[in-house]
Amino acid sequence: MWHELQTLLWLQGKLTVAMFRTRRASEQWYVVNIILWGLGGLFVLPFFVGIGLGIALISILLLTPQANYELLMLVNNGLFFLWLLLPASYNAQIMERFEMSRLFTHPIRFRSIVAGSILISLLTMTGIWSALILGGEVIGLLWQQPLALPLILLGVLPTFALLALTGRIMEDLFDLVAGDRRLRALMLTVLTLPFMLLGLGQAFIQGAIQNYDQITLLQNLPIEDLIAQLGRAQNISQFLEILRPSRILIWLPAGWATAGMAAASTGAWGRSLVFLGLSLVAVGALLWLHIRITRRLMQGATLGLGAERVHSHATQFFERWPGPPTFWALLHKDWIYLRRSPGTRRMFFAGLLMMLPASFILWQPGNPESAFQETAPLLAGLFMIVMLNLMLNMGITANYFGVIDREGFGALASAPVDRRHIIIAANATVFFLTGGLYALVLLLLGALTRNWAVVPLGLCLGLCMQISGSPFFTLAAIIAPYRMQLNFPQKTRQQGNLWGMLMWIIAGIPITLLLVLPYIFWRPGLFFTIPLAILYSVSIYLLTLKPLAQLLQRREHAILEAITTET
Amino acid sequence: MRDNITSAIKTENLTRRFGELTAVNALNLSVPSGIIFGFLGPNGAGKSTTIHMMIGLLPPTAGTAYVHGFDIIKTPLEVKRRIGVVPENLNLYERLTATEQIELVGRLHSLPQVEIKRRIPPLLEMLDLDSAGNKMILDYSQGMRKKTALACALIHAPEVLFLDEPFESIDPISTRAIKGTLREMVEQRGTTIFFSTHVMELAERFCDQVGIINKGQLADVGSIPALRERAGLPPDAALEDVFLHTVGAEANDQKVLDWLTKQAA
Repeated sequence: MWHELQTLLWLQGKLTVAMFRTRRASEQWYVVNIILWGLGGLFVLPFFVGIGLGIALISILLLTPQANYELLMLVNNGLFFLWLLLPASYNAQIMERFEMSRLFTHPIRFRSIVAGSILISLLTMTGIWSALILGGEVIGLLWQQPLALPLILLGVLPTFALLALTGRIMEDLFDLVAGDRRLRALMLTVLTLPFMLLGLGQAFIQGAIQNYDQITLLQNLPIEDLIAQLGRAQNISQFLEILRPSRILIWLPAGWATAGMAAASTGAWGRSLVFLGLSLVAVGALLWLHIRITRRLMQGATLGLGAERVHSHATQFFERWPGPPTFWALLHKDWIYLRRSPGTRRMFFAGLLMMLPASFILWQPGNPESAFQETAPLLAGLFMIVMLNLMLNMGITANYFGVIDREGFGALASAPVDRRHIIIAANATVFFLTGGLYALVLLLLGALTRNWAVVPLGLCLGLCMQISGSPFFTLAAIIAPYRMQLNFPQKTRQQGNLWGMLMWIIAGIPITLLLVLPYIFWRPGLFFTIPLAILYSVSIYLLTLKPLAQLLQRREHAILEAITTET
Repeated sequence: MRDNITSAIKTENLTRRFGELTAVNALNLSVPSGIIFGFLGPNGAGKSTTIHMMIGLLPPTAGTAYVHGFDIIKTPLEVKRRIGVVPENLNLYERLTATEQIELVGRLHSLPQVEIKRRIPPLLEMLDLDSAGNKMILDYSQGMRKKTALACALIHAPEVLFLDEPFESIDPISTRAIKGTLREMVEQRGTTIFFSTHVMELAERFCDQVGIINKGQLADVGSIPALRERAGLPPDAALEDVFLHTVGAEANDQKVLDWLTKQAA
């Protein structure tokens, strides 16, 4: 088993070193990358050592044992949530994941895979800085209660194991859903919920503070006493003791582990033993879950033998419309692709999630008549729409054939269809997608700020910018397409975006001025400027359509080569 | 726990169900040692599911299989020690180099480090990967990835090789070199090669025996002349004809494609 563990550690080492490699890069770049990462490490490692030492020093110099216990509750539960969320974001982006399923065809024992995967979780960057922070906690606890040494040491191990196993199970779940596109999308959505809850929580607290007198439910809670007591706190120790986050956090597994490790330092030896037992049970349960998922993975759970059934409800809808059937066929194809592509779906939800907290920040239920309420939501709403427009077009339109058509572009290139139809269908699909997203964000913003003017103005701005900006992003898609690889970040091949973005800014300025200036200075002017903005956008679109179609025709072979050739 | 040692691979009522779908239905197959065995079947016939069960990636719903006498359910590790696999999805770590990937597999098979280092260069040379051995697999073409997977399957000199469409995407020069090496492994070391393919010409020229699976059941198995004879086809009939006859696909109703085949008015 030791030999197998050694091999797994060797593999993880190789995958870590691979982080420093850039694609097709020279040896010099490899060295520069290592130096840069080394310098980064020089700053990052002392930072976490500093946090560990900081916790130790705060515990020793500033806190009573009870306050220290409360602080550790906060820190360890924070670590727990980081371990819960980080596998979804940080590791998966930078490092190729240690996917267990790739090892299953080889003669490696089940227990080696289980043990190796946990060991590797401990040795990730997250594992190392968690260990440093826990080390600081141990020093602080020992200073306050040296006699509790055995319990502290016995308690810190399940705490670390609990954190690592939490991260490991999140990775397991990723492996488990890897073969199922829908489950994968669902999991990513679920994992982004906590970030949304932060925004909601912030908005709730803000609203609760401003409307405290009107909310009877809040008045019934002993919150006023607590706030008054917190106000009387003379120092951080008293503040933590009055706040007592352990009241709530003790219900979480990380709370049990912290209590097991730290309660003895407050003199509660029995409590420490009970929670140590509970945390061991939690570690056992997580280990059992990890073993179960690993066994399922080994038994072919990721083989993806079940195909996803999809439906084409919209076929008849697209057949009914007048005009060239080839155009409707193209629009139908684009719509299906955009709807089924996990990339565009992720981009849609990411856009929505990014904008939601910003909407809540603007929620000012206290005084809807204030000058802030008049202008801030509008300006913020327009800014959000501009950002969404940029993000979605850079993500989709600027490499449309590489993102949506890919190998299928060969069929388009060999089909006798008007190239203008290809462009219009592509742009129209993105237009509907972005339009839906703008409407959702603006309606939410309008409802929260009670400033409904933001909805029509924002929609007008967004859709006009979509129409006027599409030709330039389409130009980028034609002159600088690239092969989309979902499993590797694209860093160096988006030069087309720069040109598209520059032209998008130039084309978008007149629209913004036509909509924002009249709103600020003379609102009746909007009756003239809104149609003018629409006319301007449509004119740009129509004027550029034919040259773009001709360019597309000329560059089809180059586009096909760029988006299909393996690099 | 080593049974049925006369056959390299033996299945006993091997069955796999996915919900209501029976992908492999009570398959009884025996593949002798030291031959190249082609596993043929239409798309969705159950070839990949059978291979997944034989290599221990998928537990059977019923029945079992033996590889070199080892039960795939009771002793999966012993089976995996003796086999090399080129799976459908290749299972490579993309950010390793080919050399590192092959080394990983060698280590997983407990080969001494010196031996791994000795075996990798000639393998890469045979597969024409020697100049790309230190590039990330991420930068490889599909054919190069397949060659890397093949090198991984060969590094520990397995007793049984399971290859899923092994020559797809590989250039003719490398194909020829690989076929030569595989044939030598069979003739000189007694290795058994079990491979699935859709290319009938390849199976006809390369295989000592073939098995045809259709709708999850073994339709026929044996040497190509024996299959021809059972199908009632002449001795010069191509394997493609035998295959179509065996799976009952030769009577294609041409009328539905009248618009395509008849001369326009």
